[in-house]
Amino acid sequence: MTGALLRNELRLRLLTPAWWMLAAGSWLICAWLLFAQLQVYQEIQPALTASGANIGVNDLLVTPTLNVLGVLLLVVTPLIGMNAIAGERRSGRLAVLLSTPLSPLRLLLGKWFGMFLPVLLIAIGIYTMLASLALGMRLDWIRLATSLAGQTLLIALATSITLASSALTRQPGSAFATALTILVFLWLADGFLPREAALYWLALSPHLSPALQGTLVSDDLAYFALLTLAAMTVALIGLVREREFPPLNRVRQTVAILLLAAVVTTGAALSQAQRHTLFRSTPVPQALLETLAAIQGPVTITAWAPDYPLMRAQIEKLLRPLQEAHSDIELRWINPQREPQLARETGITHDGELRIEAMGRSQKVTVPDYPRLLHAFRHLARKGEPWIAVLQGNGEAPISDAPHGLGAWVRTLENHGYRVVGIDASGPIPDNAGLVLIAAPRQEYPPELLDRLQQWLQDGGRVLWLQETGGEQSLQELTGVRVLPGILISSPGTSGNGPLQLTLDLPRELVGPGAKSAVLDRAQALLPSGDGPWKIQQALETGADTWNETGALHEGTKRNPLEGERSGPHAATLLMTRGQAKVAIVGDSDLARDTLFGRSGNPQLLLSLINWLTENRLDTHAGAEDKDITWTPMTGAMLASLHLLFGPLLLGLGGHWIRRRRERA
Amino acid sequence: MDAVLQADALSSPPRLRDFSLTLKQGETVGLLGINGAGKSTALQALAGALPNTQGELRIMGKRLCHHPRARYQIGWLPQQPPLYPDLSAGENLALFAGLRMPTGTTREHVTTTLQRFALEPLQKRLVHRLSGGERMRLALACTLVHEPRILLLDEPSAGLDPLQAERLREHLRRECADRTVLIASHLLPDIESLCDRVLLMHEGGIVADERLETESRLVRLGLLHPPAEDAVRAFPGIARVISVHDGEHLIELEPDAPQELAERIGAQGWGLYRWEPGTSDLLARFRALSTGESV
Repeated sequence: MTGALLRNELRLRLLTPAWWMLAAGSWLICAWLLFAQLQVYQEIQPALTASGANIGVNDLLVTPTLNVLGVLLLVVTPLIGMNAIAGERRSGRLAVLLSTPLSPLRLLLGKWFGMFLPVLLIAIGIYTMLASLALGMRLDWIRLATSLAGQTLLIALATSITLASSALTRQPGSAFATALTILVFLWLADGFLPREAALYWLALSPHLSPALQGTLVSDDLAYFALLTLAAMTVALIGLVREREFPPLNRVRQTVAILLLAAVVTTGAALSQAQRHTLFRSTPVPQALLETLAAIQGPVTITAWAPDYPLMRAQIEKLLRPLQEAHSDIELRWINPQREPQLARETGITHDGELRIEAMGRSQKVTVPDYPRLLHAFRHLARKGEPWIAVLQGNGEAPISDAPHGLGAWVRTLENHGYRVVGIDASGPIPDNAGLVLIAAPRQEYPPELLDRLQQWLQDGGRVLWLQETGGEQSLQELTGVRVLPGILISSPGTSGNGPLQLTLDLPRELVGPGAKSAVLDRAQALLPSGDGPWKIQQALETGADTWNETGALHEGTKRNPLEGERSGPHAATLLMTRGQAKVAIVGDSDLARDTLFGRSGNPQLLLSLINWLTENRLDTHAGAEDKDITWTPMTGAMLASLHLLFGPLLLGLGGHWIRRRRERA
Repeated sequence: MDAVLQADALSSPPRLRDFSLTLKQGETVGLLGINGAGKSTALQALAGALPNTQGELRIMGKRLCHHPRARYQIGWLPQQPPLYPDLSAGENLALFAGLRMPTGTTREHVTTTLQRFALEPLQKRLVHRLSGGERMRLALACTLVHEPRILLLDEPSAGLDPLQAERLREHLRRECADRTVLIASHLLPDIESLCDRVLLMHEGGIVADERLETESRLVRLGLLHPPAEDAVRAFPGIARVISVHDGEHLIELEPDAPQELAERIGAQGWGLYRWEPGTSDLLARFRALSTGESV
């Protein structure tokens, strides 16, 4: 019987144009917001990469769209379901339905599923739209799954509240207004109720957000279950009142409602007290695993946690994958309540703080999570001296956030435990510097500075030279490497970024499997000397269609051999070794400046060069792993057309077609 | 005959007050009353779907509140057909079959019911595109699809033209044959053509209960020197005396009363001055109600 009613409800929803129009509207709104955000994202993506921020498309595109979907569902569900009972009552059909052997509970369940499934279908449609982004983005599928679970619970709650509103009136409009008011109140309660207020538990957003972020928390599931149950009970009382024979008296109704309130209140209190995370999608970042692999020797993690089983279980759960990845991690527990003196001496300020010791150093993690653990382990994993001395005073790129500065890269290096300091070119190079960085000198270095640099290399020092026009003579004197005149350009039409920007393949043996290419702008060709003490290997090489253009650029520029313009391939990055000394030369400094640092695999190339120079194994991941968009412009345009135009249009026409077909029968 | 539906003091003020009736197997009963008398409310209460109803309702001797499955025996068709206008005739019928019948038996029933009510050609047509008569026929099919023993019909021919109403009556005559039927109406033709017993309803309660089959045997008898009532009642050929007022008797003749009965009564010296066909008190009272007179 319930099945017959459910089939009827589904027919009423899916075979009439209203559902199709709502689905088309929801699709269009979500697609519009998604692609508007995508446009902004593409503009800020280089800066985002440069900043090393641990957020990508999942945080900046998918989750905001899902938030919008949540709000849409709060409106769509009452629109679809306002007629469910109120409309039946108004048309006189409810009395007939209640005169059948179908019990009020079964009637309610049939109506509930008949509303829930069509709304869920709309939500699933939006999820397929988001899933199509996987054509060019790295989606967090587990997070998508948990968010779908959260949205399903939201639909269940909205359906129940709409049914309850519909069961208490004979006006569908009134049912819609009541349901919408309750749902909007729950949604906005987060904003106007103080967090310490008991009623704050009723706020919907704080219970939905964790699921959208990939975490399932017991309290959130209890919230949706209890409120859904409460709304369904109210709806059931509304229906039973209509049929109960003899009638449900006021005392029984009051007792039922008081009992319901008691169950919800007790359930809420219990679930808050026993709140724990059931599932967390956040996988261990690849960068953290790589960093762990670089750590030699034992690792001791001391957790300063009281004897709270849930807190300790969560810390254990967080660290278990790290213990699996690194065989020598010992986890120790200290209860700061029993060792207050020790906790004060160690500087412990929070319950659950971690202190990690490895490679003779220690790091503190105040709030245990993977991003903070990564930061701590990066500091522990770095070998050698922590100083990077950046020569300043001869027109080099500034290490600040000034225009064309190295600020973003400097922050990345600091995240890996380096301290980047500018040194005056006229002063000595500090003995404890792990590396000297020379970024785009605009003028030739004085002989005494070149002598100091020669001496630094003879003592086994390391230098990273980022070449820009100027300083060619100094580079040649220091390393024997000649810089060809002019700038490297590619044949018109072979580079999507214009002839001045070169996209070069990254050597896998240096950079690893992650990044594929680096982008250089106005690079210069490096010509190593064939006979010298240096052992030289080429890291980046331009294509055969490039040459060093010495003249002014104009349309139809061609290589002119008479001007000394040589055709490619040319060396754009060289790695040079002489005994302990190492020099890395890049024929362009822009890839390290804020303007190009975030582009493509530039951060990975630079970190790999640092690793090569300092013999470290620091991970070369720059921020989140889901920040790149790899689809072609054609794919992007096709997806935009599909979601913004054809999808909504097909849905709208689908409803119209079904209507016409049925009308003609 | 056993009572198949028994209502005892059903009340849901102000529309229904102390409403009691007993319907026996195979009876077709009319519930007559002017608009607002409470006929539809009474039918809704008898279908077990009227909110806040006090009293007791028994179906086949079983109390409805304790035996919800007894609802299988009821088919209730309210005045406004309970159809979904955006669904087809077949879909509407399938819904009511599914709601009132065991799973797995519905498809066959739907097909035969469509044939029975000549609805097969309209199976895929949306209800809002059906004519009033077709819609009422479909509603009747939905009400009868599960073969209920008790049929409650509320103004079945309201809003239909005479032709459609007559066609519906034909269907009803056929379908009512083996069932216990209660037809609420304020249209005398419906009642007279279908019912063998009539209940008159006024202000939420039943004010009269008469068998309609005797209507043709009623005679209004006027006597100048009336004897004792028992003498009239005992006269051969007279079944009963319904009312007496100032020598005016309303009598019911026996089915085999002789043709020359009037002459025989005239010969008694009772001063016979009137012998004409009579109408029942109930119908007279209904007419009085219809014209606004007190009853």
